[in-house]
Amino acid sequence: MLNHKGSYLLEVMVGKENNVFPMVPQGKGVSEVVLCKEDIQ
Amino acid sequence: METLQKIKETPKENTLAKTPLGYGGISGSIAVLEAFIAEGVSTIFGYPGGAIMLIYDALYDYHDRLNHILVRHEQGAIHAAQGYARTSGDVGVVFATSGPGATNLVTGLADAMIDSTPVVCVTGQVFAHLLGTDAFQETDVINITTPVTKWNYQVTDATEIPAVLAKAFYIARSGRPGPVLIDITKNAQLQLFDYEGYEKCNHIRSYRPAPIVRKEYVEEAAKLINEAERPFVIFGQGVILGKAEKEFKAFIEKAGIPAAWTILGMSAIPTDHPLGVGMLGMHGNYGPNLLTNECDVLIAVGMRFDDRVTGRLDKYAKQAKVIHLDIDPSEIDKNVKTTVPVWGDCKETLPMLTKLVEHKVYPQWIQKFADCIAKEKEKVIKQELNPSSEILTMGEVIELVNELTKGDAIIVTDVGQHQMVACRYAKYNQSKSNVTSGGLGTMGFALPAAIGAKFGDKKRTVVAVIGDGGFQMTLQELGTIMQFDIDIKILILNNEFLGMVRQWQELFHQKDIHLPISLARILYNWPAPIVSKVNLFAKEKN
Ligand SMILES: Cc1ncc(C[n+]2csc(CCOP(=O)(O)OP(=O)(O)O)c2C)c(N)n1
Ligand SMILES: [Mg+2]
Repeated sequence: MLNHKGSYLLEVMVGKENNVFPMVPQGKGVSEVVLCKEDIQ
Repeated sequence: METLQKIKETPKENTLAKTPLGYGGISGSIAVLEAFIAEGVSTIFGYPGGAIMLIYDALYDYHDRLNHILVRHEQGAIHAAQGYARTSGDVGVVFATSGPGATNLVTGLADAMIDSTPVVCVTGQVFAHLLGTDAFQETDVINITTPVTKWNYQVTDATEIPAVLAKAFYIARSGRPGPVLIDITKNAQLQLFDYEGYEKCNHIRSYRPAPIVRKEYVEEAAKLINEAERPFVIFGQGVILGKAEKEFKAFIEKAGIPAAWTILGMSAIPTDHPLGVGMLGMHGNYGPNLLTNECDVLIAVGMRFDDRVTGRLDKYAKQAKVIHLDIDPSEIDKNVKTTVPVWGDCKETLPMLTKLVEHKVYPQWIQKFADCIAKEKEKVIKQELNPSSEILTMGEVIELVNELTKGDAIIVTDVGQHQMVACRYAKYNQSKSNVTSGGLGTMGFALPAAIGAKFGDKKRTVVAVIGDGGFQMTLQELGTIMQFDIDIKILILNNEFLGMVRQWQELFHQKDIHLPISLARILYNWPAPIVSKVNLFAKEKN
Protein backbone atom coordinates (compact mmCIF):
# COMPACT_ATOMS: atom_id res chain seq x y z
CA MET A 1 0.00 0.00 0.00
CA LEU A 2 2.67 2.50 1.02
CA ASN A 3 5.02 1.69 -1.83
CA HIS A 4 2.23 1.84 -4.38
CA LYS A 5 2.41 4.96 -6.54
CA GLY A 6 -0.79 6.89 -6.10
CA SER A 7 -3.85 6.47 -3.95
CA TYR A 8 -4.70 3.18 -2.32
CA LEU A 9 -7.68 1.91 -0.39
CA LEU A 10 -7.27 -0.95 2.03
CA GLU A 11 -10.12 -2.32 4.06
CA VAL A 12 -9.06 -4.26 7.12
CA MET A 13 -11.52 -6.41 9.02
CA VAL A 14 -10.88 -6.02 12.73
CA GLY A 15 -12.50 -7.43 15.86
CA LYS A 16 -16.16 -6.48 16.01
CA GLU A 17 -16.78 -5.92 19.66
CA ASN A 18 -13.53 -4.64 21.09
CA ASN A 19 -13.65 -1.73 23.51
CA VAL A 20 -11.19 1.13 23.81
CA PHE A 21 -9.40 1.43 27.14
CA PRO A 22 -8.17 3.21 29.22
CA MET A 23 -11.32 5.25 29.73
CA VAL A 24 -12.42 8.03 32.01
CA PRO A 25 -16.09 7.09 32.27
CA GLN A 26 -18.59 9.87 31.69
CA GLY A 27 -19.29 11.86 34.85
CA LYS A 28 -16.10 10.66 36.56
CA GLY A 29 -12.94 12.46 37.54
CA VAL A 30 -9.67 11.89 35.68
CA SER A 31 -8.18 9.83 38.49
CA GLU A 32 -11.11 7.43 38.19
CA VAL A 33 -9.66 6.30 34.85
CA VAL A 34 -10.21 2.58 34.29
CA LEU A 35 -8.24 -0.01 32.37
CA CYS A 36 -10.97 -2.54 31.75
CA LYS A 37 -14.72 -3.00 31.74
CA GLU A 38 -14.74 -4.74 35.12
CA ASP A 39 -13.34 -1.63 36.81
CA ILE A 40 -16.32 0.55 35.88
CA GLN A 41 -18.67 1.04 38.81
CA MET B 1 -0.52 40.92 -11.76
CA GLU B 2 0.31 39.52 -15.21
CA THR B 3 -3.30 38.64 -15.77
CA LEU B 4 -4.31 42.01 -14.56
CA GLN B 5 -1.98 43.65 -17.03
CA LYS B 6 -3.30 41.49 -19.81
CA ILE B 7 -6.86 42.39 -19.00
CA LYS B 8 -6.10 46.08 -18.84
CA GLU B 9 -4.34 45.96 -22.19
CA THR B 10 -6.90 43.89 -24.00
CA PRO B 11 -10.26 44.78 -22.57
CA LYS B 12 -12.11 43.09 -25.42
CA GLU B 13 -10.86 39.70 -24.21
CA ASN B 14 -12.45 40.31 -20.86
CA THR B 15 -16.08 39.34 -21.20
CA LEU B 16 -16.87 40.93 -17.88
CA ALA B 17 -15.89 44.31 -19.27
CA LYS B 18 -18.74 44.04 -21.73
CA THR B 19 -21.38 43.84 -19.06
CA PRO B 20 -24.06 46.48 -18.86
CA LEU B 21 -22.23 47.88 -15.88
CA GLY B 22 -19.74 49.51 -18.20
CA TYR B 23 -16.06 49.41 -19.03
CA GLY B 24 -12.95 50.04 -16.98
CA GLY B 25 -11.21 48.72 -13.89
CA ILE B 26 -11.51 45.09 -12.86
CA SER B 27 -14.45 43.02 -11.76
CA GLY B 28 -15.13 42.02 -8.17
CA SER B 29 -14.49 38.43 -9.22
CA ILE B 30 -10.99 39.23 -10.39
CA ALA B 31 -10.37 41.20 -7.23
CA VAL B 32 -11.09 38.04 -5.21
CA LEU B 33 -8.53 36.05 -7.18
CA GLU B 34 -5.94 38.83 -7.02
CA ALA B 35 -6.37 38.81 -3.25
CA PHE B 36 -5.74 35.05 -3.17
CA ILE B 37 -2.55 35.45 -5.21
CA ALA B 38 -1.33 38.25 -2.93
CA GLU B 39 -2.04 36.10 0.14
CA GLY B 40 0.01 33.23 -1.26
CA VAL B 41 -2.91 30.91 -1.94
CA SER B 42 -2.10 28.13 -4.38
CA THR B 43 -4.94 25.66 -3.90
CA ILE B 44 -8.68 26.28 -3.66
CA PHE B 45 -11.16 23.59 -2.68
CA GLY B 46 -14.56 24.33 -4.09
CA TYR B 47 -17.82 23.55 -5.77
CA PRO B 48 -19.56 25.90 -8.20
CA GLY B 49 -23.13 27.05 -8.64
CA GLY B 50 -25.20 29.91 -10.00
CA ALA B 51 -24.27 32.53 -7.42
CA ILE B 52 -20.51 32.00 -7.67
CA MET B 53 -20.21 31.25 -11.36
CA LEU B 54 -18.75 34.66 -12.17
CA ILE B 55 -15.81 33.97 -9.87
CA TYR B 56 -15.37 30.56 -11.48
CA ASP B 57 -15.43 32.29 -14.86
CA ALA B 58 -12.62 34.58 -13.77
CA LEU B 59 -10.73 31.61 -12.33
CA TYR B 60 -10.23 30.32 -15.84
CA ASP B 61 -7.57 32.97 -16.49
CA TYR B 62 -5.80 32.06 -13.26
CA HIS B 63 -5.62 28.30 -13.70
CA ASP B 64 -1.84 28.39 -14.01
CA ARG B 65 -1.50 29.97 -10.57
CA LEU B 66 -4.56 28.87 -8.65
CA ASN B 67 -5.14 25.16 -8.52
CA HIS B 68 -8.84 24.46 -8.07
CA ILE B 69 -9.78 21.09 -6.64
CA LEU B 70 -13.35 20.25 -7.51
CA VAL B 71 -14.65 18.25 -4.56
CA ARG B 72 -17.88 16.27 -4.57
CA HIS B 73 -19.69 18.06 -1.73
CA GLU B 74 -19.07 21.42 -0.05
CA GLN B 75 -18.46 19.69 3.28
CA GLY B 76 -15.60 17.96 1.51
CA ALA B 77 -14.24 21.34 0.41
CA ILE B 78 -14.08 22.80 3.87
CA HIS B 79 -12.67 19.66 5.51
CA ALA B 80 -10.04 19.58 2.76
CA ALA B 81 -9.22 23.22 3.49
CA GLN B 82 -8.92 22.30 7.18
CA GLY B 83 -6.58 19.43 6.35
CA TYR B 84 -4.54 21.82 4.23
CA ALA B 85 -4.34 24.36 7.05
CA ARG B 86 -3.32 21.74 9.60
CA THR B 87 -0.38 20.32 7.63
CA SER B 88 0.80 23.53 5.95
CA GLY B 89 0.37 25.88 8.90
CA ASP B 90 -1.30 28.33 6.50
CA VAL B 91 -4.86 29.33 5.59
CA GLY B 92 -7.11 26.89 3.69
CA VAL B 93 -9.40 28.41 1.07
CA VAL B 94 -12.90 27.39 -0.06
CA PHE B 95 -15.38 28.40 -2.76
CA ALA B 96 -19.07 27.54 -2.53
CA THR B 97 -22.26 28.82 -4.03
CA SER B 98 -25.20 30.39 -2.20
CA GLY B 99 -28.06 28.55 -0.48
CA PRO B 100 -27.35 24.81 -0.30
CA GLY B 101 -23.69 25.31 -1.16
CA ALA B 102 -23.25 27.64 1.78
CA THR B 103 -25.29 25.57 4.24
CA ASN B 104 -23.20 22.52 3.35
CA LEU B 105 -20.22 24.37 4.80
CA VAL B 106 -21.71 24.74 8.26
CA THR B 107 -20.38 21.49 9.77
CA GLY B 108 -16.88 22.29 8.56
CA LEU B 109 -17.08 25.85 9.88
CA ALA B 110 -18.15 24.58 13.29
CA ASP B 111 -15.30 22.08 13.20
CA ALA B 112 -12.75 24.73 12.21
CA MET B 113 -14.10 27.12 14.83
CA ILE B 114 -13.80 24.74 17.75
CA ASP B 115 -10.41 23.43 16.56
CA SER B 116 -9.05 26.93 15.79
CA THR B 117 -8.29 26.16 12.15
CA PRO B 118 -7.60 29.08 9.80
CA VAL B 119 -9.91 28.86 6.80
CA VAL B 120 -11.30 31.52 4.45
CA CYS B 121 -14.55 30.61 2.68
CA VAL B 122 -15.92 32.71 -0.14
CA THR B 123 -19.58 32.06 -0.87
CA GLY B 124 -21.61 33.48 -3.73
CA GLN B 125 -24.86 35.24 -2.89
CA VAL B 126 -27.87 36.35 -4.92
CA PHE B 127 -27.94 39.86 -6.42
CA ALA B 128 -28.13 42.53 -3.75
CA HIS B 129 -31.50 43.77 -5.00
CA LEU B 130 -32.93 40.28 -4.41
CA LEU B 131 -31.72 39.96 -0.82
CA GLY B 132 -34.60 39.30 1.53
CA THR B 133 -37.01 38.22 -1.20
CA ASP B 134 -36.61 34.44 -0.85
CA ALA B 135 -34.81 34.50 -4.16
CA PHE B 136 -33.70 31.24 -5.74
CA GLN B 137 -30.93 29.74 -3.56
CA GLU B 138 -30.96 32.67 -1.19
CA THR B 139 -30.02 31.80 2.39
CA ASP B 140 -29.11 34.15 5.17
CA VAL B 141 -25.65 32.64 5.42
CA ILE B 142 -24.36 35.46 7.60
CA ASN B 143 -26.83 34.70 10.37
CA ILE B 144 -26.47 30.95 9.98
CA THR B 145 -22.70 31.05 10.26
CA THR B 146 -22.24 33.78 12.86
CA PRO B 147 -21.71 31.45 15.83
CA VAL B 148 -19.35 29.17 13.87
CA THR B 149 -17.05 31.77 12.35
CA LYS B 150 -14.38 33.98 13.83
CA TRP B 151 -15.65 36.66 11.46
CA ASN B 152 -18.13 36.81 8.61
CA TYR B 153 -19.19 39.60 6.30
CA GLN B 154 -21.40 40.20 3.30
CA VAL B 155 -20.06 42.24 0.40
CA THR B 156 -22.56 43.95 -1.92
CA ASP B 157 -20.16 46.47 -3.44
CA ALA B 158 -17.02 45.32 -5.29
CA THR B 159 -14.92 48.25 -4.14
CA GLU B 160 -14.88 46.65 -0.69
CA ILE B 161 -13.47 43.33 -1.87
CA PRO B 162 -9.70 43.94 -1.59
CA ALA B 163 -9.87 45.37 1.92
CA VAL B 164 -12.42 42.81 3.13
CA LEU B 165 -10.38 39.86 1.88
CA ALA B 166 -7.22 41.32 3.40
CA LYS B 167 -9.08 41.50 6.70
CA ALA B 168 -10.41 37.96 6.22
CA PHE B 169 -6.94 36.45 5.84
CA TYR B 170 -5.56 38.52 8.69
CA ILE B 171 -8.33 37.50 11.07
CA ALA B 172 -8.23 33.83 10.02
CA ARG B 173 -4.51 33.45 10.68
CA SER B 174 -3.75 35.90 13.48
CA GLY B 175 -4.02 35.32 17.21
CA ARG B 176 -6.11 32.27 17.89
CA PRO B 177 -6.86 31.23 14.30
CA GLY B 178 -10.32 30.39 13.02
CA PRO B 179 -12.66 30.26 10.06
CA VAL B 180 -13.85 33.36 8.21
CA LEU B 181 -16.68 33.48 5.69
CA ILE B 182 -17.08 36.21 3.09
CA ASP B 183 -20.40 36.24 1.24
CA ILE B 184 -20.29 38.16 -2.05
CA THR B 185 -23.44 39.10 -3.93
CA LYS B 186 -23.53 38.45 -7.63
CA ASN B 187 -23.69 42.10 -8.60
CA ALA B 188 -20.47 42.74 -6.65
CA GLN B 189 -18.75 39.88 -8.48
CA LEU B 190 -19.81 41.47 -11.75
CA GLN B 191 -19.20 45.09 -10.85
CA LEU B 192 -16.20 46.84 -12.38
CA PHE B 193 -14.26 49.24 -10.24
CA ASP B 194 -11.00 51.15 -10.17
CA TYR B 195 -8.56 48.76 -8.58
CA GLU B 196 -5.80 50.35 -6.58
CA GLY B 197 -3.91 47.17 -5.81
CA TYR B 198 -3.97 44.88 -2.82
CA GLU B 199 -2.73 45.79 0.57
CA LYS B 200 -2.30 43.13 3.22
CA CYS B 201 -3.92 43.82 6.55
CA ASN B 202 -1.92 43.69 9.77
CA HIS B 203 -4.00 45.78 12.13
CA ILE B 204 -7.66 46.23 12.90
CA ARG B 205 -8.80 48.76 15.43
CA SER B 206 -9.96 47.13 18.70
CA TYR B 207 -8.89 43.66 17.55
CA ARG B 208 -5.95 42.44 19.59
CA PRO B 209 -4.91 39.02 18.27
CA ALA B 210 -2.17 38.53 20.86
CA PRO B 211 -2.49 40.15 24.26
CA ILE B 212 0.41 42.13 25.64
CA VAL B 213 2.55 39.84 27.78
CA ARG B 214 2.71 40.78 31.43
CA LYS B 215 6.16 40.04 32.71
CA GLU B 216 5.09 39.81 36.33
CA TYR B 217 2.90 36.80 35.54
CA VAL B 218 5.76 35.05 33.78
CA GLU B 219 7.89 35.69 36.84
CA GLU B 220 5.21 34.35 39.16
CA ALA B 221 4.82 31.28 37.00
CA ALA B 222 8.57 30.63 37.03
CA LYS B 223 8.60 30.95 40.80
CA LEU B 224 5.83 28.36 41.17
CA ILE B 225 7.62 26.01 38.80
CA ASN B 226 10.93 26.38 40.59
CA GLU B 227 9.30 25.56 43.93
CA ALA B 228 7.34 22.60 42.61
CA GLU B 229 8.01 19.01 43.58
CA ARG B 230 5.70 17.31 41.11
CA PRO B 231 5.15 19.73 38.20
CA PHE B 232 3.21 18.48 35.18
CA VAL B 233 2.89 20.09 31.75
CA ILE B 234 -0.19 19.53 29.60
CA PHE B 235 -0.13 20.99 26.10
CA GLY B 236 -2.47 21.47 23.20
CA GLN B 237 -2.57 22.64 19.64
CA GLY B 238 -1.57 26.14 20.69
CA VAL B 239 2.05 24.98 20.54
CA ILE B 240 1.62 23.95 16.90
CA LEU B 241 -0.54 26.93 15.89
CA GLY B 242 1.98 29.25 17.51
CA LYS B 243 4.80 27.48 15.64
CA ALA B 244 6.46 27.21 19.04
CA GLU B 245 7.52 23.55 18.99
CA LYS B 246 11.20 24.41 19.52
CA GLU B 247 10.47 26.87 22.30
CA PHE B 248 8.21 24.32 23.99
CA LYS B 249 10.81 21.57 23.82
CA ALA B 250 13.48 23.87 25.23
CA PHE B 251 11.18 24.74 28.12
CA ILE B 252 10.30 21.20 29.22
CA GLU B 253 13.87 20.00 28.71
CA LYS B 254 15.40 22.72 30.84
CA ALA B 255 12.75 22.44 33.55
CA GLY B 256 12.78 18.60 33.34
CA ILE B 257 8.99 18.42 33.54
CA PRO B 258 6.96 15.47 32.20
CA ALA B 259 4.53 16.57 29.48
CA ALA B 260 1.31 15.07 28.14
CA TRP B 261 -0.53 16.16 25.00
CA THR B 262 -4.16 16.67 24.13
CA ILE B 263 -5.38 14.99 20.97
CA LEU B 264 -4.70 18.17 18.99
CA GLY B 265 -1.38 18.90 20.65
CA MET B 266 -0.11 15.50 19.58
CA SER B 267 3.08 15.52 17.44
CA ALA B 268 4.22 18.96 18.68
CA ILE B 269 7.03 16.99 20.29
CA PRO B 270 8.11 13.57 18.99
CA THR B 271 5.93 10.89 20.57
CA ASP B 272 9.05 9.11 21.86
CA HIS B 273 10.47 12.20 23.57
CA PRO B 274 11.83 11.09 26.97
CA LEU B 275 9.64 13.65 28.78
CA GLY B 276 6.54 12.82 26.71
CA VAL B 277 4.19 10.78 28.88
CA GLY B 278 1.29 10.28 26.49
CA MET B 279 -2.16 11.55 25.64
CA LEU B 280 -4.73 13.13 27.93
CA GLY B 281 -8.44 12.65 27.64
CA MET B 282 -11.31 10.23 28.01
CA HIS B 283 -9.41 7.60 26.01
CA GLY B 284 -5.96 8.96 26.65
CA ASN B 285 -3.23 7.14 28.50
CA TYR B 286 -3.58 5.96 32.06
CA GLY B 287 -0.71 7.89 33.67
CA PRO B 288 -1.45 11.43 32.46
CA ASN B 289 -5.07 11.12 33.57
CA LEU B 290 -4.37 9.56 36.95
CA LEU B 291 -1.42 11.78 37.83
CA THR B 292 -3.18 15.03 36.90
CA ASN B 293 -4.66 14.62 40.35
CA GLU B 294 -1.26 14.12 42.00
CA CYS B 295 0.83 16.94 40.56
CA ASP B 296 1.41 20.04 42.64
CA VAL B 297 1.81 22.52 39.77
CA LEU B 298 -0.11 22.03 36.55
CA ILE B 299 1.24 24.00 33.59
CA ALA B 300 -1.23 24.16 30.71
CA VAL B 301 0.17 25.39 27.40
CA GLY B 302 -2.09 26.28 24.46
CA MET B 303 -4.94 24.03 25.51
CA ARG B 304 -8.47 24.81 26.60
CA PHE B 305 -9.43 22.25 29.28
CA ASP B 306 -12.03 20.56 27.11
CA ASP B 307 -14.43 18.37 29.10
CA ARG B 308 -13.04 15.31 27.34
CA VAL B 309 -9.71 16.22 28.94
CA THR B 310 -10.89 17.26 32.40
CA GLY B 311 -13.67 14.80 33.14
CA ARG B 312 -15.63 16.07 36.12
CA LEU B 313 -14.36 19.55 36.89
CA ASP B 314 -15.03 19.38 40.62
CA LYS B 315 -12.62 16.46 40.75
CA TYR B 316 -10.01 17.94 38.46
CA ALA B 317 -6.54 18.82 39.78
CA LYS B 318 -7.99 20.37 42.91
CA GLN B 319 -4.66 19.86 44.74
CA ALA B 320 -2.63 21.75 42.12
CA LYS B 321 -1.68 25.32 41.46
CA VAL B 322 -2.55 26.00 37.85
CA ILE B 323 -0.51 28.04 35.38
CA HIS B 324 -2.29 28.62 32.08
CA LEU B 325 -0.44 29.91 29.01
CA ASP B 326 -2.90 30.89 26.31
CA ILE B 327 -3.23 33.44 23.54
CA ASP B 328 -6.98 33.74 24.04
CA PRO B 329 -7.85 35.55 27.29
CA SER B 330 -11.38 34.11 27.16
CA GLU B 331 -9.91 30.65 27.82
CA ILE B 332 -8.35 31.75 31.09
CA ASP B 333 -10.57 30.71 34.03
CA LYS B 334 -13.25 29.44 31.62
CA ASN B 335 -13.26 25.86 32.89
CA VAL B 336 -10.41 25.62 35.36
CA LYS B 337 -9.50 28.33 37.84
CA THR B 338 -5.93 29.45 37.27
CA THR B 339 -3.42 30.52 39.89
CA VAL B 340 -1.26 32.34 37.35
CA PRO B 341 -2.59 33.35 33.94
CA VAL B 342 0.10 33.86 31.32
CA TRP B 343 -1.72 35.51 28.46
CA GLY B 344 0.11 35.77 25.21
CA ASP B 345 1.55 34.00 22.22
CA CYS B 346 3.44 31.01 23.65
CA LYS B 347 6.17 31.58 21.07
CA GLU B 348 6.88 34.70 23.08
CA THR B 349 6.02 33.59 26.63
CA LEU B 350 7.73 30.18 26.60
CA PRO B 351 11.27 31.54 26.05
CA MET B 352 10.66 34.12 28.78
CA LEU B 353 9.67 31.33 31.11
CA THR B 354 12.54 29.07 30.05
CA LYS B 355 15.00 31.80 30.93
CA LEU B 356 13.64 31.99 34.48
CA VAL B 357 13.21 28.32 35.34
CA GLU B 358 15.96 26.28 36.94
CA HIS B 359 17.56 23.20 35.43
CA LYS B 360 15.90 20.31 37.24
CA VAL B 361 15.11 16.60 37.15
CA TYR B 362 12.32 14.78 38.94
CA PRO B 363 13.35 11.11 38.88
CA GLN B 364 10.80 9.88 41.45
CA TRP B 365 7.92 11.78 39.91
CA ILE B 366 8.81 10.61 36.41
CA GLN B 367 9.07 7.06 37.73
CA LYS B 368 5.38 7.30 38.64
CA PHE B 369 4.53 7.88 34.98
CA ALA B 370 6.74 4.95 34.01
CA ASP B 371 4.91 2.75 36.53
CA CYS B 372 1.60 3.77 35.01
CA ILE B 373 2.82 2.95 31.53
CA ALA B 374 3.89 -0.48 32.79
CA LYS B 375 0.45 -1.03 34.27
CA GLU B 376 -1.28 0.08 31.07
CA LYS B 377 0.99 -2.23 29.07
CA GLU B 378 0.14 -5.13 31.29
CA LYS B 379 -3.61 -4.59 31.37
CA VAL B 380 -4.38 -3.12 27.95
CA ILE B 381 -1.56 -2.86 25.45
CA LYS B 382 -0.32 -6.45 25.72
CA GLN B 383 -3.67 -7.88 24.71
CA GLU B 384 -4.20 -5.26 22.06
CA LEU B 385 -0.89 -5.76 20.33
CA ASN B 386 -0.52 -9.50 20.82
CA PRO B 387 -4.06 -10.80 20.99
CA SER B 388 -4.37 -14.46 21.77
CA SER B 389 -7.11 -14.87 19.21
CA GLU B 390 -6.83 -14.86 15.43
CA ILE B 391 -8.89 -11.70 15.22
CA LEU B 392 -6.98 -8.58 14.24
CA THR B 393 -7.14 -5.55 16.54
CA MET B 394 -7.04 -1.89 15.48
CA GLY B 395 -3.91 -1.45 17.61
CA GLU B 396 -2.04 -4.07 15.60
CA VAL B 397 -2.89 -2.31 12.36
CA ILE B 398 -1.63 1.05 13.65
CA GLU B 399 1.55 -0.61 14.91
CA LEU B 400 2.15 -1.92 11.41
CA VAL B 401 1.66 1.59 10.01
CA ASN B 402 4.26 2.83 12.52
CA GLU B 403 6.69 0.18 11.45
CA LEU B 404 6.28 0.95 7.76
CA THR B 405 6.24 4.75 7.98
CA LYS B 406 8.79 5.02 10.81
CA GLY B 407 6.84 7.88 12.33
CA ASP B 408 7.28 10.10 9.28
CA ALA B 409 3.70 9.97 7.98
CA ILE B 410 0.83 12.35 8.46
CA ILE B 411 -2.05 10.36 9.92
CA VAL B 412 -5.54 11.71 9.39
CA THR B 413 -8.19 10.04 11.50
CA ASP B 414 -11.95 10.05 11.45
CA VAL B 415 -14.07 9.84 14.60
CA GLY B 416 -14.74 6.83 16.78
CA GLN B 417 -12.83 3.92 18.26
CA HIS B 418 -10.31 3.81 15.42
CA GLN B 419 -9.51 7.50 16.10
CA MET B 420 -8.79 6.85 19.76
CA VAL B 421 -6.75 3.74 19.00
CA ALA B 422 -4.82 5.48 16.21
CA CYS B 423 -4.02 8.43 18.47
CA ARG B 424 -2.97 6.14 21.30
CA TYR B 425 -0.59 4.07 19.20
CA ALA B 426 0.60 6.34 16.39
CA LYS B 427 4.26 7.32 16.46
CA TYR B 428 5.25 10.73 15.17
CA ASN B 429 8.63 12.32 14.88
CA GLN B 430 7.60 15.67 13.43
CA SER B 431 5.01 18.34 14.11
CA LYS B 432 1.71 18.78 12.24
CA SER B 433 1.41 15.04 11.75
CA ASN B 434 -1.84 14.27 13.53
CA VAL B 435 -4.90 15.60 11.74
CA THR B 436 -8.21 14.85 13.39
CA SER B 437 -11.50 16.45 14.33
CA GLY B 438 -10.98 17.06 18.03
CA GLY B 439 -13.56 19.47 19.39
CA LEU B 440 -16.51 18.73 17.13
CA GLY B 441 -15.81 15.03 16.56
CA THR B 442 -17.10 15.14 13.00
CA MET B 443 -17.55 11.75 11.40
CA GLY B 444 -16.73 12.01 7.71
CA PHE B 445 -13.86 14.43 8.38
CA ALA B 446 -10.95 12.17 7.50
CA LEU B 447 -11.32 11.40 3.81
CA PRO B 448 -11.66 15.01 2.61
CA ALA B 449 -9.22 16.29 5.27
CA ALA B 450 -6.64 13.80 3.97
CA ILE B 451 -7.00 15.32 0.49
CA GLY B 452 -6.21 18.74 1.89
CA ALA B 453 -3.47 17.37 4.13
CA LYS B 454 -1.67 16.05 1.05
CA PHE B 455 -1.83 19.44 -0.70
CA GLY B 456 -0.63 21.08 2.50
CA ASP B 457 2.55 19.01 2.59
CA LYS B 458 3.09 17.15 -0.65
CA LYS B 459 6.39 15.57 0.34
CA ARG B 460 4.93 13.49 3.14
CA THR B 461 2.99 10.25 3.11
CA VAL B 462 -0.63 10.76 4.14
CA VAL B 463 -2.49 7.86 5.72
CA ALA B 464 -6.22 8.26 6.39
CA VAL B 465 -7.47 5.95 9.13
CA ILE B 466 -11.24 5.73 8.89
CA GLY B 467 -14.03 3.67 10.44
CA ASP B 468 -16.58 1.82 8.36
CA GLY B 469 -19.24 4.24 9.58
CA GLY B 470 -17.49 7.56 9.00
CA PHE B 471 -16.18 6.43 5.63
CA GLN B 472 -19.72 6.21 4.38
CA MET B 473 -20.40 9.82 5.39
CA THR B 474 -18.09 11.43 2.83
CA LEU B 475 -17.04 8.59 0.56
CA GLN B 476 -18.06 10.60 -2.48
CA GLU B 477 -14.65 12.25 -2.19
CA LEU B 478 -13.13 9.07 -3.62
CA GLY B 479 -14.19 10.68 -6.91
CA THR B 480 -12.04 13.73 -6.17
CA ILE B 481 -9.10 11.50 -5.24
CA MET B 482 -9.36 9.57 -8.50
CA GLN B 483 -9.92 12.62 -10.71
CA PHE B 484 -6.97 14.57 -9.36
CA ASP B 485 -4.80 11.51 -8.76
CA ILE B 486 -4.20 12.44 -5.12
CA ASP B 487 -1.69 10.15 -3.47
CA ILE B 488 -3.27 9.25 -0.16
CA LYS B 489 -3.41 5.88 1.54
CA ILE B 490 -6.83 5.06 2.90
CA LEU B 491 -7.07 2.53 5.66
CA ILE B 492 -10.58 1.49 6.63
CA LEU B 493 -10.76 -0.24 9.99
CA ASN B 494 -13.95 -2.19 9.58
CA ASN B 495 -15.47 -3.53 12.77
CA GLU B 496 -18.92 -3.72 11.18
CA PHE B 497 -20.20 -1.42 13.88
CA LEU B 498 -20.50 2.19 14.86
CA GLY B 499 -17.95 0.99 17.32
CA MET B 500 -17.80 3.90 19.70
CA VAL B 501 -21.58 3.99 20.01
CA ARG B 502 -21.66 0.24 20.51
CA GLN B 503 -19.04 0.54 23.26
CA TRP B 504 -21.11 3.14 25.15
CA GLN B 505 -24.22 1.06 24.79
CA GLU B 506 -22.40 -1.97 26.15
CA LEU B 507 -20.79 -0.10 29.05
CA PHE B 508 -23.40 2.40 30.12
CA HIS B 509 -26.77 1.63 28.66
CA GLN B 510 -26.94 -2.15 28.97
CA LYS B 511 -29.25 -2.20 26.00
CA ASP B 512 -28.78 -4.32 22.99
CA ILE B 513 -29.68 -1.81 20.34
CA HIS B 514 -26.40 -2.11 18.49
CA LEU B 515 -26.38 -0.67 15.05
CA PRO B 516 -24.34 -2.85 12.75
CA ILE B 517 -23.36 -0.91 9.69
CA SER B 518 -22.62 -2.76 6.53
CA LEU B 519 -19.88 -1.34 4.40
CA ALA B 520 -19.24 -4.55 2.51
CA ARG B 521 -22.46 -4.12 0.62
CA ILE B 522 -21.42 -0.78 -0.74
CA LEU B 523 -17.93 -1.73 -1.73
CA TYR B 524 -18.52 -5.13 -3.26
CA ASN B 525 -22.04 -6.35 -3.41
CA TRP B 526 -24.00 -3.49 -4.86
CA PRO B 527 -25.68 -4.77 -7.98
CA ALA B 528 -24.38 -2.18 -10.38
CA PRO B 529 -24.08 -3.36 -13.94
CA ILE B 530 -23.20 -0.57 -16.33
CA VAL B 531 -26.25 0.30 -18.32
CA SER B 532 -26.45 2.16 -21.59
CA LYS B 533 -29.58 3.53 -23.17
CA VAL B 534 -29.83 0.54 -25.47
CA ASN B 535 -29.64 -2.21 -22.89
CA LEU B 536 -31.67 -0.30 -20.30
CA PHE B 537 -34.67 -0.20 -22.57
CA ALA B 538 -34.07 -3.76 -23.65
CA LYS B 539 -34.07 -4.82 -19.99
CA GLU B 540 -37.19 -2.88 -19.10
CA LYS B 541 -39.07 -4.67 -21.84
CA ASN B 542 -38.04 -8.10 -20.58
C1 LIG C 1 -21.50 13.42 12.06
C2 LIG C 1 -21.53 12.58 13.29
N1 LIG C 1 -22.63 11.86 13.59
C3 LIG C 1 -22.66 11.07 14.69
C4 LIG C 1 -21.59 10.99 15.53
C5 LIG C 1 -21.63 10.12 16.79
N2 LIG C 1 -20.62 9.06 16.71
C6 LIG C 1 -19.41 9.16 17.30
S1 LIG C 1 -18.42 7.85 17.00
C7 LIG C 1 -19.61 7.06 16.13
C8 LIG C 1 -19.37 5.72 15.54
C9 LIG C 1 -18.33 5.73 14.47
O1 LIG C 1 -18.35 4.50 13.81
P1 LIG C 1 -17.17 4.11 12.83
O2 LIG C 1 -16.94 5.20 11.85
O3 LIG C 1 -17.45 2.77 12.24
O4 LIG C 1 -15.91 4.08 13.78
P2 LIG C 1 -15.59 3.03 14.97
O5 LIG C 1 -16.02 3.67 16.23
O6 LIG C 1 -16.34 1.77 14.69
O7 LIG C 1 -14.13 2.85 14.90
C10 LIG C 1 -20.78 7.85 16.07
C11 LIG C 1 -22.02 7.46 15.39
C12 LIG C 1 -20.47 11.78 15.19
N3 LIG C 1 -19.38 11.81 15.95
N4 LIG C 1 -20.45 12.54 14.06
MG1 LIG D 1 -16.83 0.92 12.86
